[in-house]
Amino acid sequence: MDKNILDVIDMSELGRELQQARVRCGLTQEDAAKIIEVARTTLTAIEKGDRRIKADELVKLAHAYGHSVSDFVRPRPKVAISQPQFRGPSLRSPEDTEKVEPFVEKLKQLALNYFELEEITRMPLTRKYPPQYEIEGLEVEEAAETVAIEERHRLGLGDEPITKILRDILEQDVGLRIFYIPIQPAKFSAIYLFDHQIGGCIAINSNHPEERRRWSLAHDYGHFLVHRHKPTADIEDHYRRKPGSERFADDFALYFLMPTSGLIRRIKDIRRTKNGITLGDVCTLATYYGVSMAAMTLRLEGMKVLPTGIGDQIKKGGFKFREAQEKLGLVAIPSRDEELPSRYQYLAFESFIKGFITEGMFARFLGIDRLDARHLAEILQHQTEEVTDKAIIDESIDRLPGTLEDEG
Amino acid sequence: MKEIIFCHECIILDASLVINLCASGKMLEILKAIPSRVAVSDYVADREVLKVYTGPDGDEMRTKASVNLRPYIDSNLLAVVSPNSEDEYLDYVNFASELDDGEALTGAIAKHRNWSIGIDERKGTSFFTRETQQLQLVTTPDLIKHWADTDNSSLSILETIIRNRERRARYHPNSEHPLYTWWNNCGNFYCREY
Repeated sequence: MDKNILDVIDMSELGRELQQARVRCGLTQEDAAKIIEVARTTLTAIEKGDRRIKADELVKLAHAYGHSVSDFVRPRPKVAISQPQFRGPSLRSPEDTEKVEPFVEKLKQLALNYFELEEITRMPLTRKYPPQYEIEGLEVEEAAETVAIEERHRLGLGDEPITKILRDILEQDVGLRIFYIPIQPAKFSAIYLFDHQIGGCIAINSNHPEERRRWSLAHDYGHFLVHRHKPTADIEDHYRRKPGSERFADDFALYFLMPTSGLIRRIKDIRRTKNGITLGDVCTLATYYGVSMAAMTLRLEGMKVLPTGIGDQIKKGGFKFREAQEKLGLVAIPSRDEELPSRYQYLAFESFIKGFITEGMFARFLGIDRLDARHLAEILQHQTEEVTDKAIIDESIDRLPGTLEDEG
Repeated sequence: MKEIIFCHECIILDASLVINLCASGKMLEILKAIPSRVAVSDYVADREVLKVYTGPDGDEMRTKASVNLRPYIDSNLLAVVSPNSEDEYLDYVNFASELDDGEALTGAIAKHRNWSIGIDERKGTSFFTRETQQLQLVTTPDLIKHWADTDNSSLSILETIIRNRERRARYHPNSEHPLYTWWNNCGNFYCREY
């Protein structure tokens, strides 16, 4: 190394990052100044980039702030996701804002890590974003159904239930960055952020059952399609009137997960064999479409297939969805529960296996300890080998002379 | 076959190697066999999450536990060292621009005190080979082989140690390691399970 990193690093940038880290861990400038045994004014100068920080000071501050030194000095993408301003009813109170803040921070960090791994491996994410839909002049419900139909068409989903993992579709076929993180309190369903460099990022509350997570995902996808640049934190709240953007996202989720034409076909099939729709039928449909009983009854009420208010009655009656699924022998929709997208894990693995990052960094990117990181690397290596082997087999098959039919 | 010659007064161990030594179940004996002093940085001792799988044989991954370095420190077989000069701090920060903190501090201390570095980690190894050319890099197979040669260990004990490393620390030397064949021959009964 020819130069000292502290002689060449952008001091204003470093100062800003140190200041943000200090604030995040709740320390005052006075507290931080004591840690490195300087006057508060000196610390202010360091944070402004006016006073060059010494190596031992950086080490002490980084550790006091719960960071590694590497977090501040390794070359990272020059991206700063701006602090989202949650407006209006998307966040109800300063208390809610405070509660959701650590999870917003976590989503930002994970998205930045993902982007950093793409830069390290030089494998940028392919975005297949549709242009933002214009819905002005349309009724909310009409707009939601129109956009849902167009998106289903664009993604080749037709009007059948989405039997694949929705998360995979939105990650792979759209290029969204989706993370499943446990968010507290449980009333928070999801967080959506957009940055022009990083793209669309969604955190889904992993504590929720898969049906609800799919709903939250579809809901936030609706935001992405129509209100792309507006961050949101979704809170379950039945008691307030929702703004137009939220009603759109809800309706979009409804039509995207349960498209009208396909659902009508299924209901006709049921009616062909019997007179009415039973609770078991609703349960079967909900399972088939990967939505909750509440979502399916709401949809069927909206289609006038079920009388209004039946959903509330089912809920009050203490209907147990999981038990009913078991009794009916229904298999729940598949899910992928990992916090990180599969591609994120593979990029971290690629970086590690090619020697671009250390074992410690690999573990840190994955948010696990070194031992589990080693084990995960083994699993990913094993999977990669299997895929490679399969690729070799496929390639060999391609090279074979024509089939008997061709020759015939 | 490569014979290790300890050419510095002290070896400072990185986290990757500490985990592997602990997983062997023979850390005490291996440390005793090393003719030079052995140290770890305070970062590795206090801030790294060092764990090994501790489940019963055949189901090792069922449980894991934190590595306890205290017995080795109390027996004076392992010292915990901190950066003590401006140059060490400076290189800690310099190295941290490419490595994780554990590796960076380990390398910075080794560079300024002219110590060997005990490391099993690929990126760190290539970095120190480039940046601290005068320093000796030592790996887990080096230390095990040295202990085995010194102690005249039986093949069955070696097999157990190697199996423990592989199963309890998920460590296997890469195929370019000079002792790769020796390692495999010692543990050739062992079949990896996923």
